[in-house]
Amino acid sequence: MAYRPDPVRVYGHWLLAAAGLSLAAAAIGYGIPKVLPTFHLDPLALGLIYAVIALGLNIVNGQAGQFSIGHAAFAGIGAYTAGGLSTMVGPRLFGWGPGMPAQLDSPAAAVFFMASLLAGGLVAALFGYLVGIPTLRLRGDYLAIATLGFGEIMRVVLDNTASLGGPLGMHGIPRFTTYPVIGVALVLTLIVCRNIATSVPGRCFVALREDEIAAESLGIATTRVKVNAMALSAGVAGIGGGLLAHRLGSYMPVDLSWVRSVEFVLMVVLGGSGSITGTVIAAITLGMLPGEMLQLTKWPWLQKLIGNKMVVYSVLLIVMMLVRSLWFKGGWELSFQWMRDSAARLRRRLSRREGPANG
Amino acid sequence: MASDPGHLVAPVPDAMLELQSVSRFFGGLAAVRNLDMAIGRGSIHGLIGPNGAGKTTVFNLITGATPLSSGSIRMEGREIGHLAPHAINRLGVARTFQNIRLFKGISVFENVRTAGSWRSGYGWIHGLVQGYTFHLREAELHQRTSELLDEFGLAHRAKEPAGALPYGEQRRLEILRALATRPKLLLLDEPAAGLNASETDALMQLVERILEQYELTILVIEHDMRMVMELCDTITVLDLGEKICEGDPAAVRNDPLVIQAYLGRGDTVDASDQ
Repeated sequence: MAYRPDPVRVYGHWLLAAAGLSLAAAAIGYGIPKVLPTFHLDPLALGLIYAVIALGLNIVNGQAGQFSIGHAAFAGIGAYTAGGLSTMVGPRLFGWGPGMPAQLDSPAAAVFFMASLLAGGLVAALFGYLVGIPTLRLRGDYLAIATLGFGEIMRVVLDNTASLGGPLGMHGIPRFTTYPVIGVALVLTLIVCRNIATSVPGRCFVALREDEIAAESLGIATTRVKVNAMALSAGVAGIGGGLLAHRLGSYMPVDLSWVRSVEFVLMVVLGGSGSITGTVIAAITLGMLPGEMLQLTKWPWLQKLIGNKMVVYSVLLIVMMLVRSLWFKGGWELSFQWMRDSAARLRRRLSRREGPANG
Repeated sequence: MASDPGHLVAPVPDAMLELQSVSRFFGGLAAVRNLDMAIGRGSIHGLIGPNGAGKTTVFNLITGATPLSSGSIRMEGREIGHLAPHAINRLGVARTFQNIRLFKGISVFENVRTAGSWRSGYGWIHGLVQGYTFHLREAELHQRTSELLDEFGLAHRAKEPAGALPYGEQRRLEILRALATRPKLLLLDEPAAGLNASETDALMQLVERILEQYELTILVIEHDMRMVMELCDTITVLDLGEKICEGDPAAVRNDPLVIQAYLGRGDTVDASDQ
């Protein structure tokens, strides 16, 4: 092979990207709360956290094409694990009182919080792995039903586990998920998803979605790849669940129900199944919606008209479905490559416009 | 004479692939029964027979897509009968499909690159970190893919979705995609199906070219007799799951059992097969 990439260039780009992404995390973490009016902050925070969970689902559902309707359960497993660590282990380690600290009060507590989020992700990934082994032999509708069943089982189990709060769920989870935490988590999730999608593991996922039999015949170990996709996907969703629990302050078995799972599926589908950019946009939009609709109380007549979340949902769904085909066609991504390409296109167009004027 | 089992396996001293009394039953139906076959290194071996003769089942057995009922399949002396399809591909067997199975939604380039990806030489960690090793291996993969597309005239289609290609080019792309796994043995399942005469000629040239250039051995199922007769060194004829004849094209063309399998038999012919 004649061509060898230049290490200086490679690591230069790498550092540049790292700097840019840190900036992006800082912008989300510190910029948004400064700029945005307060009443938008809570809905947006939910939207951003949903984006993490939806990005997780996007791996298995959008990229690998394995239809899962159980991701609220994976998020819930992450939420209960991280939340449990914070409410049961945290007080003993850090002497948190019954009211819980309003924020992370020491570096050690911050590390503990990060560790508990990761633990939530790992436990969810483990469940994803275990669920994946038997169910991923199924295809299409059958896999959807199996994952749906898994989600409902988890919900019922939690409903009947008194030590985890039973149907009332887990309460008094410290609200550690501030904007900076969300910024870092979302950017890290984006990096993981993007890097997987642009390398061999992600290509194997897509091959699986496109044609499993062909993929297998081309040396891709489809069963293993599927289980990996499921575990990774569940893990990311689990971290998102942990974030959500520490934002809301409570987490209930109802949050694991299939209705929630379907909402995540909607985010992925509306985002253009497989598109990371689209998933984030759709997740933020749908995630913000219920919170933003509280604003409607200012206009009672409008609230009467579209006061129900479901009304707006359905209209939004139809509109997004129509627009989606224009917007996210061909798995469009807001990527560095796309930016370079469109800059080049723009230059060409500008020079062409000059051309006839000169000639 | 040509169907005498004794001399069928013998004339292949250096076999790439050997099938020994391979059978596959679907319930009571013997899709393939007691098939012995050896494919010489560097040869083009044809597999023909009327519809339902079990040709594609033989492909599925070799590639592991369908498990064996009994018998053994050896690739370069190594038993592969029990392996999963992806493992068999990694030992150097690649195939195309009768009803083209491209990754239709992704680009031509991605189709070929994905196929070569298990040879990329990096895994999850490098993919996640995307440091120097990743970029080096990706550059190599990119170059191999571009070379393959350049060489076989699909470079100008590289960015188009594979499903948007004309039929003939889809066939070609499927062969390229199989080649991207750098196989030693390539199985082509009716590569000329649906092609017109000039496209078939182009295909034959392509097959002969890749045979030499990539030091391949090729096993081909084909209904286009002109192509089979011109291309193949050896031909095996299947009928109702059993081998009825094997030999060079001239011998096969004149074999009475083959003619009978394809055209049926008149009342005057005695039912002496089996």
